[in-house]
Amino acid sequence: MDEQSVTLSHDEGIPVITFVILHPTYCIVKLSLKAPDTNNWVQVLETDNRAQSAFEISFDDPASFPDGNPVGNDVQDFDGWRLGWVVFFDGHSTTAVDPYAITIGMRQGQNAVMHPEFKKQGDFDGPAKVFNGYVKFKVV
Amino acid sequence: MKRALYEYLLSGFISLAAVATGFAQSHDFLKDSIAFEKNVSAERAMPDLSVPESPAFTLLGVTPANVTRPGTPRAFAASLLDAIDKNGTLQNGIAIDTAPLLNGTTLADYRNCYLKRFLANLQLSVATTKGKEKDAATQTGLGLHLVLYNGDDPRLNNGVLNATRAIYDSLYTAWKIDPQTPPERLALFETAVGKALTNSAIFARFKQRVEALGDPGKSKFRERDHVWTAAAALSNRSETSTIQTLRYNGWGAWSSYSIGLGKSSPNQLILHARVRFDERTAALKDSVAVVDYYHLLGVRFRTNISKVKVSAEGAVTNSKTTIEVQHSKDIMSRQVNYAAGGIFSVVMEARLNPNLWLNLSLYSEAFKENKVNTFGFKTALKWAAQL
Repeated sequence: MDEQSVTLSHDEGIPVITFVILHPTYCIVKLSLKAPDTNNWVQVLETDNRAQSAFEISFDDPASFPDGNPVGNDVQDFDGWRLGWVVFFDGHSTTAVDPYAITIGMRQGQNAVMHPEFKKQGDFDGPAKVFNGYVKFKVV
Repeated sequence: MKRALYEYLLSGFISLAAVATGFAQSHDFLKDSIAFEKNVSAERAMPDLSVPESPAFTLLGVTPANVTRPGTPRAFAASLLDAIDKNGTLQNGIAIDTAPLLNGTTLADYRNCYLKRFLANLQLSVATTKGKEKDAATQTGLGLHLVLYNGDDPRLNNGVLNATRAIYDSLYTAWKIDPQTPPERLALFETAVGKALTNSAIFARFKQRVEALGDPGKSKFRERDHVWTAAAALSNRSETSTIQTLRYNGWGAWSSYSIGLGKSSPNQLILHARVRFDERTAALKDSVAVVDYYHLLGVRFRTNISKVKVSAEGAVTNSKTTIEVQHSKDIMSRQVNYAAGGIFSVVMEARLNPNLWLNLSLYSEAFKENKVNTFGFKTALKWAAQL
């Protein structure tokens, strides 16, 4: 399968990851980074939808992205890095028909840069749903 | 569709012994008075002291096999329109049960705003059915189920969510899952997570929520166990099965308040009340029974003694029923019946093995006007399969 690329412009700001998680279903998202020319994913962030269901995480937030990751003022540093995620939905619910839905996107300034966005939605057919995916940054 | 660990109590209800006195007394009068509670007398069982999730079904006395569950207000409206054809004729066998606002609510909104949570939990039920036996009329029911307060809501319980997260995290690490894990392995991981959650104490909490008012003794995540639910339903009848001729046919309301006694104890107290008014049933060809009113007040105390579940419960009822008999075109007689009484039982249930329970129950029933005064004891083995 072809690797999805996210093209960043070196003239624009630090990219921001956007999340929209619909429905009252508990969802956990784990974000990982993979440095250029390495094989290891390093988990950098874990969050859930308890406090907010639509939120953004900026790469220049040192609390979210600690040292050693593409954090900085220069977008050029992102070239060749990969951002990945693993999403978990808890299907133990109290209603007969329970859907799950998440959209993960990315923007640079006001421009959406991840095409297509990562979208998963459906109804539970089991007590848990897990999805993963990743993109590779390319700076032009 | 929701998946969970379900326990079906199957047909293994094996009576080992039954000793009772006073069965010879006639119950016909009582049965007429509380027709919708006929199982109480017929089977010597306590009425279910819980609020029906689908009160429209309960009011009509139907247990539909195929229930439509529209997930949005628009889909609900479409389902309603399907229940009526273009001539206004009501379709029989319609059963709709939905919480139309739930899926439009996010978890954050659900957790942060009582009003949004209240609306999300608002459940509507609609049912249509033909009258019983020779009653050709169509009956419709429209019901509303409300969660007024739920201190036991797993979505609000950080203990439950943290435990869910901990189980997921531990398997995530053990399985070395990452963003590039291939789909086949991810599917296996998903199954493993589902199984681990289902087998955990967390699931017991969710399951309890599903099973009416729950059993707090099973959960170590209990923080606040007060649960207050209510339901109401309106019934209409149409002799010609058309919407234009629908007439009021009574209503019912239920409410339960469940209290967990002690933060870490298994004790639970449930208070229950229900009323029914103006229910008209064509029981026989020439007679009509009208339940003018029916009131029930019940209380149940549940606890665990070692591995034995013990419950003591009692209920008092009060009803007035009018039976109208049409003897000829011009002659009709009316008989007004009053019934008031109570039922009390103590039940002990011991788990013999993971799928087998021994059930012992002691009960007493008394209805003064009907000269019913029974006292009995019965035992049963219950077999449950986990699906």
